[in-house]
Amino acid sequence: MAKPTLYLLDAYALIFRAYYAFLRNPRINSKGLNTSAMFGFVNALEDVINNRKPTHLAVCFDHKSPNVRVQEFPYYKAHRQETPEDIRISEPYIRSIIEAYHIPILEAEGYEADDVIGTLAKIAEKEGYEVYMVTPDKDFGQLVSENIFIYKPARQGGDAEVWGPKEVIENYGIHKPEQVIDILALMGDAVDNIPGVAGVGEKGASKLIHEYHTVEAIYDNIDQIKGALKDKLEKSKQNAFDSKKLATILLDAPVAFEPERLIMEAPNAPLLSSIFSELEFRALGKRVLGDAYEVNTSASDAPVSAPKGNVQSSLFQDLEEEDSPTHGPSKGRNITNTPHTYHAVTSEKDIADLKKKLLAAKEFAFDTETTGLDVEMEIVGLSFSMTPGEAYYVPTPLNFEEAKKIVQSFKEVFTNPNALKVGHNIKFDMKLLLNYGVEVAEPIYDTMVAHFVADAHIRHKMDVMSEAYLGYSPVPIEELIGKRGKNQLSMQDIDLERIKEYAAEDADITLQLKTVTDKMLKEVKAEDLVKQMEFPLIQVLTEMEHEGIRLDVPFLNEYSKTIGAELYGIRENIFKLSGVEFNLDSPRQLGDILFEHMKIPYEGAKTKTGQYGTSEDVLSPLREKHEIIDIIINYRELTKLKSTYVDALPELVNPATGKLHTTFGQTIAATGRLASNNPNLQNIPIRTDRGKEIRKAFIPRNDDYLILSADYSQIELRIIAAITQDEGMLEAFNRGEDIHASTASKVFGVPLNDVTKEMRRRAKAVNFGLAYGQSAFGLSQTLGISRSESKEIIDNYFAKFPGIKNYMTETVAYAREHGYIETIMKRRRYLRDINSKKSNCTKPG
Amino acid sequence: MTSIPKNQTVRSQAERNAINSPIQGSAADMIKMAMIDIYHEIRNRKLKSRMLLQVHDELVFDLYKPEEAELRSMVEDKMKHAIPDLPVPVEVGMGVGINWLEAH
Repeated sequence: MAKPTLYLLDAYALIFRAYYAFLRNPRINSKGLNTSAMFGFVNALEDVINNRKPTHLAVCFDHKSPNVRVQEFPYYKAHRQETPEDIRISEPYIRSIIEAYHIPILEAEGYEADDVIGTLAKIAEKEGYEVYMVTPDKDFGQLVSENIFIYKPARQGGDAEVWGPKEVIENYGIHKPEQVIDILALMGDAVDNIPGVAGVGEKGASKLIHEYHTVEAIYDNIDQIKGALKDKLEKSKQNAFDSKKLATILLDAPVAFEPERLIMEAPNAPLLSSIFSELEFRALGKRVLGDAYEVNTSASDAPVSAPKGNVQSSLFQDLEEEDSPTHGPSKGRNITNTPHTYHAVTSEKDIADLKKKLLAAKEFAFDTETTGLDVEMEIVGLSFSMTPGEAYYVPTPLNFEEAKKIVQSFKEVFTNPNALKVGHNIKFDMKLLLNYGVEVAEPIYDTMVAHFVADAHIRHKMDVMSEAYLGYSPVPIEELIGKRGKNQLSMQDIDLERIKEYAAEDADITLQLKTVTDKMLKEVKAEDLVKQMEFPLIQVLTEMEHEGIRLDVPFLNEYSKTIGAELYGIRENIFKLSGVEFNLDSPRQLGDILFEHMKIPYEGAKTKTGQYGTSEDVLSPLREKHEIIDIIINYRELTKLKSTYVDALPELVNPATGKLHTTFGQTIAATGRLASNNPNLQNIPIRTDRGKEIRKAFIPRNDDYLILSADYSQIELRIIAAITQDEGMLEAFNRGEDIHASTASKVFGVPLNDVTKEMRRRAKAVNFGLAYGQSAFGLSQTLGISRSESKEIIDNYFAKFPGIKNYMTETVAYAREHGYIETIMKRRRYLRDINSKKSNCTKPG
Repeated sequence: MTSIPKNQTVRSQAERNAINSPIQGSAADMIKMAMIDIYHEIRNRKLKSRMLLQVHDELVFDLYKPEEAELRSMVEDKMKHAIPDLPVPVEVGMGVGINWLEAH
């Protein structure tokens, strides 16, 4: 019989790795929770379970209590105190996931996971187990033996690795695995704050240990070593011995090996399902739990209201926080002290009566209550309000088909062309209703969009608006659902009274907010704009989102592998150039390697936490200094492309439709342009060839279809010509000339035919730059020319295109006088800072 | 060395916004109006083709092959005339392909 296999997971190492793998493009769910760590951890766990089929499994955590090492070496793991907030928040989730998997969690007071794993591995080996230490951390190399291995779970695009004695020995060029400790003692470990010997990296350490076998032997024979190396070693002697102690994994952790506890069991699927659902793991959830799994549809999910402006708040919270409306009536009113009549409508007769009233109304507000905030969510109830202070709540059955019947019975109401249907973030509700076969027909009115049009710069969330303008605090969702737990299973029936109060209130508030936004729209003269453009657009966007676009997932999977292989090569190259293997995705490690280990001159300040900056702005200017910089920038771009698009897009495919359903944001960009989310289409790279490949994944729904793209050409410049009425520019466009060549001809004073490529390039930069207020300095940067040269170009440009210069002066003057600017369709943008007083600027300084 | 007072940076950013917003905003107006017109035209003509994406100044469609000529000319027309009486000609680049890259 084959040996039993024991897999011991190094929880934190896997969590950190997962978190940093997504650092630049973290996975954020609709509640704003960063789920990178949970996602990566579950992936690693699933990798082990499915690909290794262990007989025994446990997850080991560092114990919270002070570590035995810290007593001796206070600086040890000082960095660990800076555990990112997101990881600290993730840990409880990960622990409950592990419990739901029925996997025991092992930890020992005063000891780290490393020690627990080491202790157990050695015991289990003696009892005839084959042991795999699941970790990306190579320090574990010191423990490997004939029966003990390191298992590094696969990262996206790569393969899992198994390291036995042979791999460890070869990797470090040593004679036996225990010498990993000696290697670490010399080279140190930045993450764990093991100091090592300053100036000795992995290569140097490897050479020394290869020759002398142990740290002790090196110092016994220190006289044989010469030059700078000897100095370094002598200087850091104490550190080397301390480091050896620190790097040694302890094999006496107080932990018992109880194999019967560690036998693999089937997970608690309903519990796992509800956790995954909360985290909004779609594809991953299905992979683990089968096709029956759906996000946020389990019975234990309490109804949650639609995301009233959630998208906006998550994107612009920081910006908008300062601008939150603080004016308006004072707070204090809420459901307990404000008269209201909210009806629960359940009987057929009551539903019929309600429909009659709704059909007679000129306008009504409505809202849907749903099982959650996911694409696959379902309606649990509808609420309506026709008069302020009075509202109705219609609960719908759990069964989809039955719910559909009830929802559809309101079809007439939603398609009534004579009633204005009012919602807050109505697109959300409209899209949901479409899933039930109900299309909300015009006319429609959205209090969120209206508020955005009236002033893009303040927050549009319903509760914020309610408090600001109505002086009324809506019932917080927590008050309704309270703690999550088993007792919520039947809450839909039991607590109808309470749900009603919460749900009906949303419709009531929405209707009341309409009075406010109506007034605001009037003030900014945007009544026509919303009627002709913004409100009708909602229906268009609803359908586009509902329709979705098909994605070529096999293509992306293939492409992911290609990039993965390329990244592997790049990584190896970087390690070769730097002489050390490190976590490339950790900015701290990267900074330390580049600027300390490799001594590339660092320009600029360290971050607040004492780290070197490694952003592109910092690295770019260093390209000349070392070839590694270019390679790192390239590595970053590829990693980002891979994680943000190649690997992320398939995750966004809705399993029910097999398509990608982007969300368009109508209330995000202050300019009035549309934004998009999940994915953000605007950011799909188009400059690089690799980036362009992403677009290949967007394909027609079937063979009867093709993709048609229709793209405005130079629309901004044409609009500049139209708005500024600059004759020269209008003429060029009207004659159908190449606008940049034509500009070059005028600015450089040569005939159109004699315009060189370089002249055209410069003219193009001016065309695009100046209208955006780019300075001579900015232009000189863009073009790589001197500032005086660029100033000359700009002066010439303004002389030839006086309309543009005039426009710039006049628009700024207009904005100063009125506090806003307007578009062709009279959309206003308020510019609060335009009159930030000169008094400050002219202060002697 | 003199540093720029903070309010001046704030103000010049506001000035850049004053200059740029009418342009960006009008471009937004234009494509939004075009989208509304195209959407209704697709419905009225009961076409099988669908508008799917809007990104930057571009619209992306699922084009039902037999409707190619009709959709092309309709979309071009609606995009060009989204805002009436513009004193400049508007141009629309169009492409068709088996994926978005090829179409673009």
